[in-house]
Amino acid sequence: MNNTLKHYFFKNTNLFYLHLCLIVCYLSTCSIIFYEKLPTVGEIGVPATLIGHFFREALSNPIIFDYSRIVFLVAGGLWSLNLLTPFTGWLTSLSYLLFTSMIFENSPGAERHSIHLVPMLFLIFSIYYQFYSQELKNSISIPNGIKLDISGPRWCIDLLVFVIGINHSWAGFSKFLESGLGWSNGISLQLWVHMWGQDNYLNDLIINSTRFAIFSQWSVIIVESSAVCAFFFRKNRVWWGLLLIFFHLVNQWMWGWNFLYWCPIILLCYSSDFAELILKNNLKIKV
Amino acid sequence: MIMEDSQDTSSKLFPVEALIISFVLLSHILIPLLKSELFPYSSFQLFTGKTLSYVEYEAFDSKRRPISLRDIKLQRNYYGMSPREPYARIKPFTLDKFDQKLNQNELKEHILKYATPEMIPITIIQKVYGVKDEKVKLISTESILIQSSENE
Repeated sequence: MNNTLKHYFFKNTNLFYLHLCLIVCYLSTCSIIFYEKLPTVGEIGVPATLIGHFFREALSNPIIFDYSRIVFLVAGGLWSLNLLTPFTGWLTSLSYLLFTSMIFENSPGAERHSIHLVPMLFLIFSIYYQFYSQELKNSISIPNGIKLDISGPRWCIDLLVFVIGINHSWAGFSKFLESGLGWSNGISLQLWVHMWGQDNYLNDLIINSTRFAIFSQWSVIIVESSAVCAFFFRKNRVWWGLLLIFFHLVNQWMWGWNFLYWCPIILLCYSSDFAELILKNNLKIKV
Repeated sequence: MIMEDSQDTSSKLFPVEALIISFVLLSHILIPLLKSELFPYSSFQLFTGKTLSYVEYEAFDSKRRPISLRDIKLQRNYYGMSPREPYARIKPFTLDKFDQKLNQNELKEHILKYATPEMIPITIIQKVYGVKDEKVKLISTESILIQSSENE
């Protein structure tokens, strides 16, 4: 394997920090899971999910929906406390994948884009805990004290960044693939905002200025499409993370969609190098 | 308690780890390319179109009472996504689309197909929004009376 791959996947990461990422991911998801309802309107079309290709009928069952939510909450809580791992990890991931697949499969046109990202992040965490649960237990073993600097291979963080990045990049590329460079004509954004936007200063600005709308659309294209680059440029990763967070905050302001819960997850995953440096240098405390 | 020094637990990956990493990387690239939607692998299409105008409909019966647009299949579906396969639940049919202003004959044919006899005659207000002088504006408003053929 060449040096580049070694640089990414062999290098160590701080396991305490990784577990912190998992806890934030779990808590952020908990903040939205109570509000989700199972849509039931419309005829059933082409399966949009992996699970839907095998168990389409079961995905419309409200009892399974409620149970998947409860299993996620309980198993995720245990996982956050580092109990019964890696079993609780798999249970959390699969129950959440089922939960989100049910929403996805029952939404007209599979349009619930705010749920795309997180299930895969949980799956990656589960895979990692399958290999390194003992090391993680050692890092957060209360009787012996929390060991802040036990480390393991860093591929988990890198894969999380990759998945977050490639999902955003596909969102950017699909605009080019569908409409070409002319997508950023400003007019389309102005009309969408006029139809669906929240009533606020930013949207007023867009509705009344095609030039500002063009600038906004180009900004979206650049931020979204380049998101996967963060995977390759680790030193500058934190800046891409901040850009993505800014992008989602603006989205939340403009449309009112629920993307806010992604922000802490992105922040922690993208600032891993920065945060680990702080952990290494400043947290070697004696009590 | 004393924080311990760093312990290097990894000098190389297990082959199965390398395999899983490769699978995650490749699947997120290849699956959206081959099939745009296969959650949790998706190309994540949103607002990919290039809209130049949209229409807002209002409908009233003979006593000027508003009629639900859903009842006469003129409701606005969410169409921020580009048209693809009818994934998941199929959206309720509508004649309302971006960049499409309907003429009197098209509207009449459509309304008479879906409206109940009690609704008719129906007045449809068709407002077209577009961009003029850099601003979103109401470009045109048209009122169309739809009656059954016997009353004409």
